Amino acid sequence: MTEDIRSHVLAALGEIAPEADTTTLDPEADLADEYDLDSMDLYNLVVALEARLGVEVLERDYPHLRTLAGAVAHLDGLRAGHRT
Amino acid sequence: MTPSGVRVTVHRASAPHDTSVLSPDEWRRVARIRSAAARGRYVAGRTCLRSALADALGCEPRAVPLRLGQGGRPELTIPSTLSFSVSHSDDVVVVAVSATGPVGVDVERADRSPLPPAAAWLTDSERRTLERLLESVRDRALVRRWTAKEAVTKALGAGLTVPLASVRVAGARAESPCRTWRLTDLDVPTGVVATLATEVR
Repeated sequence: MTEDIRSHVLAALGEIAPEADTTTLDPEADLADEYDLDSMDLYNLVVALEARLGVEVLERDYPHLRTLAGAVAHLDGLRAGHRT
Repeated sequence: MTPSGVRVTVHRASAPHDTSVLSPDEWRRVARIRSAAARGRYVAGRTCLRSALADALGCEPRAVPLRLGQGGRPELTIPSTLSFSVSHSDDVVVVAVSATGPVGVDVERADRSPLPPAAAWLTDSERRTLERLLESVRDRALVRRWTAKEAVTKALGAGLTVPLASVRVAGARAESPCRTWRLTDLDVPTGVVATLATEVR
């Protein structure tokens, strides 16, 4: 499950920043700092992940998606919530 | 025209900046930024912000008491009525400092693409208005609208944790829940658009 979400996050990241090398990404690194993403990029990332995973990310939770680890944990939680 | 009590400065990120004014905390943050372009913009943004705040506070740029606040946004560590906002895009850095109330600024490339899906951040009314525009000017109008909404969310101190569709833009005004904002198109270099948001009281 978590691995599936991780692959979705990396794929969505690749769409937003095609030149990004995600193979060495530190899960705790700030994605904006790593790949020179601005707020619109991050917004596009959230929209892409919502479409891929069929979840809704509330704006107040956007800061969770600033790192790979945070994004996977938050999206995993959302999906788990959908299953129950 | 910029509202009274608000000072806006526009800079080139690639211009020389006196990096000796940055604090140890700021240098630690620089070291964590892997993208060279993002690192350059951060350094430029911080030095320009320190310079603008130094003018307002009457001190040296290196003496401006800044710390990283919530969400990584800079904040003053001393009691102050000053409000400030920084935005950068490509080679342009815009800094706004206000002595008269909350302020937010956002700059984006005019040809920015792809924009987020309209349904995610525009109200129905805004969508209808923008759809009526000629295609040749619509994209730029959408980027302008994005800068307006983001400037308001920055002035609110919330950034994108506020739903962009809750900020309704009409002409040079914007409404967020219980608050009204004046929007000012800023004079910036060709290729980018920038909007300043100041509260109407």
